[in-house]
Amino acid sequence: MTTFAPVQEQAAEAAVELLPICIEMRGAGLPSVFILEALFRSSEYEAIGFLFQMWHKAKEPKERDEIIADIQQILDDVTMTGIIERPAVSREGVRALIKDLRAFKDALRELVDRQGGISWLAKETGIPQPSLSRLFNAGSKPHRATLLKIREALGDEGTNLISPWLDR
Amino acid sequence: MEIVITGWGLRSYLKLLDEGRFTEEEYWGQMRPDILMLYDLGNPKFHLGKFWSPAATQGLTVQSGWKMKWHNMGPGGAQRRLPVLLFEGDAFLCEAYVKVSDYADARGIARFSAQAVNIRKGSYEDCGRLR
Repeated sequence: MTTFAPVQEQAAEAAVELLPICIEMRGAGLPSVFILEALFRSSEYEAIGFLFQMWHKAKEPKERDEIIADIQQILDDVTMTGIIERPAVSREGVRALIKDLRAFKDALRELVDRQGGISWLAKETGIPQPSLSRLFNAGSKPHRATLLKIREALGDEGTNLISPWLDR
Repeated sequence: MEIVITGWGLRSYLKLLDEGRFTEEEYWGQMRPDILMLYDLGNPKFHLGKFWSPAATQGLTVQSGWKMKWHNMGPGGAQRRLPVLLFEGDAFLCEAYVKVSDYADARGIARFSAQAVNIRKGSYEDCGRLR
């Protein structure tokens, strides 16, 4: 029989406790890939287990969607390795960035709608719909990992639009 | 001590500004001077629980994680929160949020908890220093 270190055992125990919620999530139509990746990462990120429990207790669909978008955000961040240095943004630069972001998201939304809409994109990328809705509705800059998945789904047209934003 | 602007901090700043959760004037006139006080953690304001408190919620605690708080600011009297991780002598500005409910606060702390793990691992976007 394999012997685990106490920390591993504790993490495994915590992950197993989340299994019933995983099944509930699958029943709610969330992609299995998303659920499994989140479960796998929950041993390192205590926040994921915490958000699973919050999702389980949430009564409103809107609350559940927000929590799923939070978990997806954590999973996207996992793809980052090392310290990525970005140029500092000036006060004027912030205004320009917000304006450019709006224009970029409008163009991206138009392209996505032409291909089949957010539900189509969710299927193609494996990103839950609530995360994609947050991407288009919130004013924040989309995560690089998310943009890469969307670019792949959209093909050539997506490449031209998305590539300049990957490292901006 | 450096005040590091992380990618989460910058993105949330853009988001909250774009959503009208605060104005540029409020940020430059009130919030930014408060954040710059991180260079002097001995300042008595850091003993006020209404301004500075540990990042913890419903059983989830972020080690060396803190919340900077602003109450009743701007239209609608928003409760703004800026999570700050004090790590290896620096202050890392993470994802700011508006506390519209305890539920929103718990989610904000959960996201911060994950960001703190990444910072400790040395995986984050460095968007410059606040000076």
